[in-house]
Amino acid sequence: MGAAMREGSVKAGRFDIRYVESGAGQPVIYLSGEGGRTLPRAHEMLAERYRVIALEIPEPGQGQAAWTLGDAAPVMNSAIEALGLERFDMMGNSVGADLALRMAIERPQRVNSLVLIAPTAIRPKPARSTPDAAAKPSAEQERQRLSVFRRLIAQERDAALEERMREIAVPVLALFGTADAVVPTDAARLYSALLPKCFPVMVYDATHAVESDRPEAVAAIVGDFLAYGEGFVINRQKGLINP
Amino acid sequence: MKASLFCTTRYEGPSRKGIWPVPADSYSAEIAQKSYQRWLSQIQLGDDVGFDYVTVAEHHFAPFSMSPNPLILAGVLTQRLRNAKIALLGPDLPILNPVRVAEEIAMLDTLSGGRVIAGLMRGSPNEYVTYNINPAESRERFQEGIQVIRMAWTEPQAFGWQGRYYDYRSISIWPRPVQKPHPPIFISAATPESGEFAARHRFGVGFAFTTLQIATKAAEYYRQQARVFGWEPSPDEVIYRLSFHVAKTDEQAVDDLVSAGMQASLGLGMTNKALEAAVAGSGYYGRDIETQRARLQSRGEINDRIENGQLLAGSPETVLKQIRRVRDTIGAGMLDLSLGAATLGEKTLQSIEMFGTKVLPQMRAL
Repeated sequence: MGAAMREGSVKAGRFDIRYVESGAGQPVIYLSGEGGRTLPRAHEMLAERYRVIALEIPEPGQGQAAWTLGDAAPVMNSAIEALGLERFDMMGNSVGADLALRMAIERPQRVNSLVLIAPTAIRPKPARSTPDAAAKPSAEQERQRLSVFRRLIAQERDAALEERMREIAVPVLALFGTADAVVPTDAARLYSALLPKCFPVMVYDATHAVESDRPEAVAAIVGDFLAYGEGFVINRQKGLINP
Repeated sequence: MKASLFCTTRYEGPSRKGIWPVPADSYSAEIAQKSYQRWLSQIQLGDDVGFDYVTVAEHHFAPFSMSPNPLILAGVLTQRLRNAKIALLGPDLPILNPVRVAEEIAMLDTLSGGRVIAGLMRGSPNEYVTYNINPAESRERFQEGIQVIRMAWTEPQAFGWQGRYYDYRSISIWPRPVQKPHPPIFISAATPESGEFAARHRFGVGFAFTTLQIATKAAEYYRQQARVFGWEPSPDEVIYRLSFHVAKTDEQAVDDLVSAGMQASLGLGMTNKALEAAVAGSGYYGRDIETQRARLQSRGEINDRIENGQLLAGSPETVLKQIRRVRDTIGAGMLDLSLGAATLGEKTLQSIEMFGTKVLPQMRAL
């Protein structure tokens, strides 16, 4: 089992933002595209090495339809400030990754590195067939599954965001599921072109729910990236079989 | 129809039979070198007389075919062939490093000016002993590896691969394939699992070590699955392998085959029964195990082999008739032709020449 979980909440503007944290050491902010505060198995595994803090992405109240990720970014940054974190790594999946990008752009000096998992910030139309995706849930089914957050999924390209992505100087690990019907693997090309230090990695046989589909794979590569930064490309596994 | 000439790099000296791996106690370096030269002269003749492709394939630990890395043979051919293209049928993907395979095929595509097709195979069961890979994981390794390769060929920026069996942190191969988006991919579709996989990914298919009857059923299943995925394979997407021997008359062809001892092209490592049984028990053959084991054990006399679509033998007219029947039955657009009588020197060369000059021109019109 992973480390014990601690729940809490923090004030940020008019929002009361709940969070759950687990583990100790280097702090890692986690933003789930599904909006909840649960830690998927991948993060329980990460919590054995890091202090993982999953923040709930606040939803606007009734009648406040104009809420965007651009509005949420400063709110979330003040929540992190209220938690007393000076420097941290930040990871997010789906719209959570989109939000993490916007937060990093707003407060670049606080973030050590970024992990974007199936990020929806910019989404090219598939340039080639993704046959594996055909057998998996359709894009529409995936969006439905994302419930209230589906409306926050970016509509393909966002010129203003793309321009500012060039300012992100920290290393960015970007994970893409090879069977993702929402974000095609072709998106890796855009992130690589826009982010000065982007490391795209294809997670084989994962749908848009990359962490649920391949928890061990995600925990292994994210863990190495958080520990070694750009040096995560070096293999540190022992090859000795029969000492 | 098109034809590919498949000459194995057979060791032409004495060696132990009925065993795999074959001990090298009687090995002669001189004979091995001559064997490669003989292979090259057969291939060059095939090129001269108009074969569309020449085939190379991977086998290990046996004199049957000294081609542990067929891509090295293909490297030689890129500098020798004048017209024929190269059919890589193929590297045994699950026992290899897929990034290395992607790199090597991209090299071959560049060296040959975009003249390779990439048949990626699982290999015969015995090959799994070679590099100590669990045959029970063969299919999953294969299906993942082929996707690593396709992405390595097509992704313009460096990328990592966090797979189930393969884990690469940064891939960006040089050179890149000449053919766009990449060289045509063919896989074996002997099993229903492979037929479904090929149909889903729009790969071409090949059938070898089988009978016409079994392969036709498998080809039909592939086409049916392709329709499920919304496409219709063309005849060019189906390759069928069998052996051939052409002579002036039918009688001469049969005499030649008998004197060559009918160099059985079937069998391979299946001569090691204990090994075959162990592999069969590992799940290697998939859900249709009976058919798969039966096709690999299928042998017979010359007439049986002709009847079973494993052999083309006779005069050019007779062979053309046999080809028509194969074509009408399985609908293949390319035949991969191994030598029925590989060891007869001049007569072997005559067979290649007669096929090229007397059979191929009519075969092309089919």
